Amino acid sequence: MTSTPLTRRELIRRLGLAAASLPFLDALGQRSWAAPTPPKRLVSIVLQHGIFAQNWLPFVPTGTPISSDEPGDLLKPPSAFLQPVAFTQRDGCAAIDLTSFSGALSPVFSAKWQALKRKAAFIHNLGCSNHVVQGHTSTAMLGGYKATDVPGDQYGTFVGLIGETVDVTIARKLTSRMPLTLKIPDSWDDVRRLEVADRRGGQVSTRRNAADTDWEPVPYLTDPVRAWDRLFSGYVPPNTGPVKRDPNQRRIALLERTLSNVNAITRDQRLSAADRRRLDNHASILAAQRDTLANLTTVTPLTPAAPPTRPVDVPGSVAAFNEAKGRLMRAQFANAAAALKMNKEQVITIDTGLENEWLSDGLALGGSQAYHLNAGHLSNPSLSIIEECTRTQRFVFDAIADFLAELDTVEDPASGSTYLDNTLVLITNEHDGRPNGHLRGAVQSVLVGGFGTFAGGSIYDFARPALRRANAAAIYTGFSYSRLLYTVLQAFGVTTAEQSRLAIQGEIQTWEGADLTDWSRPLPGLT
Amino acid sequence: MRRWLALGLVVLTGCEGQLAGPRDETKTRTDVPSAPLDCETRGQGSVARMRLLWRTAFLSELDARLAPGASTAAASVGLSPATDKRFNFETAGALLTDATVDSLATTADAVAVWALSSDATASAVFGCNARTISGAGAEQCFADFLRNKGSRLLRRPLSSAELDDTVAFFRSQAALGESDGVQEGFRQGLASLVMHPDFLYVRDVPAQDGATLAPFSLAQRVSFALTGAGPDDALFAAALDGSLSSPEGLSAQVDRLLATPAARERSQRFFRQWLRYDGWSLAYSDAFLDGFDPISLQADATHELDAFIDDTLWAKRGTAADLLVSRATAPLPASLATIYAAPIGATTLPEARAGLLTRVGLLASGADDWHVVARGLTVLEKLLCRDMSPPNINVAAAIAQAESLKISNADRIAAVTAPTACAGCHQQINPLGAARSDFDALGRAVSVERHFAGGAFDFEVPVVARGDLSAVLAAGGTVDGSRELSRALATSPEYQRCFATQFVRASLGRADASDACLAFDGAAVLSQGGSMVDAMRAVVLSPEFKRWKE
Repeated sequence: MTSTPLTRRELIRRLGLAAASLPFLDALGQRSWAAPTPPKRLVSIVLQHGIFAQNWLPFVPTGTPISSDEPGDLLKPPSAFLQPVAFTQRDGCAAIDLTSFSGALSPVFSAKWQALKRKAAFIHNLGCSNHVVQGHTSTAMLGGYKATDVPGDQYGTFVGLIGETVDVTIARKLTSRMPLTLKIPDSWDDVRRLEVADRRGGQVSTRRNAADTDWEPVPYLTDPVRAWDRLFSGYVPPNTGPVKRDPNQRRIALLERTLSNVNAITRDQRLSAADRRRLDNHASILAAQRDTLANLTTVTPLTPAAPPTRPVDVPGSVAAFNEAKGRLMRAQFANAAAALKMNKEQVITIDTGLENEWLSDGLALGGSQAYHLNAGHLSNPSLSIIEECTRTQRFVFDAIADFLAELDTVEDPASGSTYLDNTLVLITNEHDGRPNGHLRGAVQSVLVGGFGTFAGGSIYDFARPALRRANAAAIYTGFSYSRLLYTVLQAFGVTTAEQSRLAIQGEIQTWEGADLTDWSRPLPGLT
Repeated sequence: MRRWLALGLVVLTGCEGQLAGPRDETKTRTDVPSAPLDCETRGQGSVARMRLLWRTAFLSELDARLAPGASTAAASVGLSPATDKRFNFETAGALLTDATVDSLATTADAVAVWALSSDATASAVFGCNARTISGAGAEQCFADFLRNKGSRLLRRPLSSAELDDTVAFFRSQAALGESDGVQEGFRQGLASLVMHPDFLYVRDVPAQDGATLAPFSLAQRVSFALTGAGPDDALFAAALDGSLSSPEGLSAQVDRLLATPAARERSQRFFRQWLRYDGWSLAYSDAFLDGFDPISLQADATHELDAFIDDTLWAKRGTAADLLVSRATAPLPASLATIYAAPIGATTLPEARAGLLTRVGLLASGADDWHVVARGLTVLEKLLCRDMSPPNINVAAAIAQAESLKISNADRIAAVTAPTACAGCHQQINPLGAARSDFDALGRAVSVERHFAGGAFDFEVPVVARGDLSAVLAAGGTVDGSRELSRALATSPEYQRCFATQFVRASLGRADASDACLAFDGAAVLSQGGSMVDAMRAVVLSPEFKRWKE
């Protein structure tokens, strides 16, 4: 690897040269693959809405305005300053070695990312369009499927049944429990709803597809103080307290008892075929969980680190809440890093909320609904809007960089590997090619880690094939981004059989549809 | 703009079914039979299919059957909203997943730990102080708990064999504990009941004749339908003593339940879920709001519809048509009075208004723009039960093109959906939305349609609120404005059938074709001028309601 610093111009030139290696990259992708050393942990960070294209791509000069023909209309040729990447209209993936590039990565990836780039793979333009899944949620980007047209028998006009997302699948495999989910409050809109909720005795409407429940308690994990309390309040380090009964054994007994009750019904009572199928499914899950727990290898706990400082409680007023948003997000990241390093959690999902508006609403711009309407979806935002978004997005990515740096400390003295090396971090958002749109037609993601053969220090651009396929696929348009999620599952050794179990009645068949018959390999270049 | 894009998806994806091939007409007209099917011959019955307790019912049943506070304990762990994005108890018709079962086990244990967390809760839940009791007394206490609260939790009596078996489980678990072994027995025993399939599912169990529901199964079906909760003491007793099995006994229980506050509360939830008038977005620009506080407005508008529906349904015993034509309202607060151009405190709306469709709660779009398709779909999907589920298509380019046209919403959508392939859906959607053009995105009556862009005024065009209903209602006709539209809908058989269908869906937690005769029975009452309450009563007293079919 050369140590000569690259200029932006040189980076662009090399990116062009990378096109010549496309057949090779494709061949890489054809190999069956599984990470020989799977990561121990998964952290999924979901940024709602999208990132401005020129903020993401490192080869676009800072401050260059979005031109009239880019990227609003994805099917047109790139504008002049993007001609060097015109080749991406061909099938394949363009890749560039980033490790020796010393320039600023992009307007939002500040200098903090220089130290991390060797462990990071920046991925552009995977297709995941038409995913109308519960609005801006982490499930939208961790599911890799569409959730409309779901067979089911719910009352009312629900959006769809949420299937299992990759973080849940991996959490089930690693820990037999759900991931820890941390969410940053979204925006003025969300804050206002919280305010309404206060008036209504703490109840807030968060779902629109309920069968009989519109009103739910305020999600406490959006509050890092409560998250801290869940994680660390009264924390007793492993194996230091009196253990009267192994919790797993208690759970096994409960599962067995329930299995017995289910079996008594299916054995003794007259059932419709539909009911019998559901009870059989219930029984099989109970049995599987019992067996999993019975076979669980006891993990030797790490030496517990001290928990982070409890975040300062946040007053409930809208203004104070907004002003504290940045601090709230950093507190959640601190909670997450500590929980990972203390081995209290292995799978964490962090939803940063509508990052392109909430900071601006509260901290930078003084708050305006017009800001959301402009920055969120207009195809031709003004330069000032771009600058404001850039500033807030840089804040978010700085916080993520600090979080990753916190994890990049030695975990295993023998090998020198860090917590980050043993963790797969997936950072993703809803980008669709339009500035900050969120139709997910051109998803941009970052994978960070250092495990096995995972290769960081690279940019991969899947632009045109992903988009073209996304637009052409009438039935299932999310397969190219789904391949990234498939890659993540494979990294953790999730088997095809385990994926197939998810394809049960009433849920979208995420991983075994015909769409994946040609695409069930990891993305080229990532291994 | 967010709504614009989302709407665009609906608009053009709605066309794709035509573009991709013939649309499934059976799907677009789901479970609202235009003919009585086989209901005249009867005997079809609803297919037995158990229903997973939905989240609020799961929690409220814990409180009602164990002791207040149990739901808080449950909601704090496995049933936390933060995790139920991925799994929830609203997916009544779905199979359980690993995650749901895991959550249930965590929840069940949390409830049991809570029950044993203090002397007071232990006594309240178990009927004895399960924290301190020991020896034979503990086992007796647990057996008594099973007979009383255990049976209520499972919504049926426990057989003696079940009692013995469950007490044996209690005993085995107590033996595994150490100094607090008895507590371990109570903990696991209670958790096993919360995990029990007969608590988790509302399950249709056949009577001995194999053709009707067993009394306890009928009791829970009636109770969840009318009150959203499990059987109360009187209903449980009626199932126990057999009186519920007689038509008179069932009728008496139904009338009693309909007179309870729980039935009123349930009806409010039903209407909110059906019409979705309580949770619109708050993404208006400050310029458009012109001083309105959208949060207060939303609260006021929701309260208005809650009160209007409650008054029409219960106090006036009104018909389904009344919901669409009445101008009665609760005394108007300042915010609504301004929008309605009526005096503060007025209890009758101006003549331009008529029923639900002209109230703020069903007009406010949540953003500066309102959309023909959204307003049309509200009528089609909610009031006429047409399923216009959107196929997929990327519509960004078409929407972007339409955005640039400075024409009315109705004309814009007509232009976008002009291709023949779109007509199947949009000849139904567009006229309904267009007819509702006489109110703006906040529900103010307008004669010109004002458009905003980026929070600033952009342009305006005169309102033309005309719609041809020939593709919507069998009676056809042309309407001019929301009021005429409401009147046309109010007496239509399509709307009456839909009302009954929505109630059946809510009652049984499903949309199933085998329930069509139940909806038919409800609609028959409405068509003869019966009240909505009469229609609800007719549904649960229908012979089909208690029929069991494999």
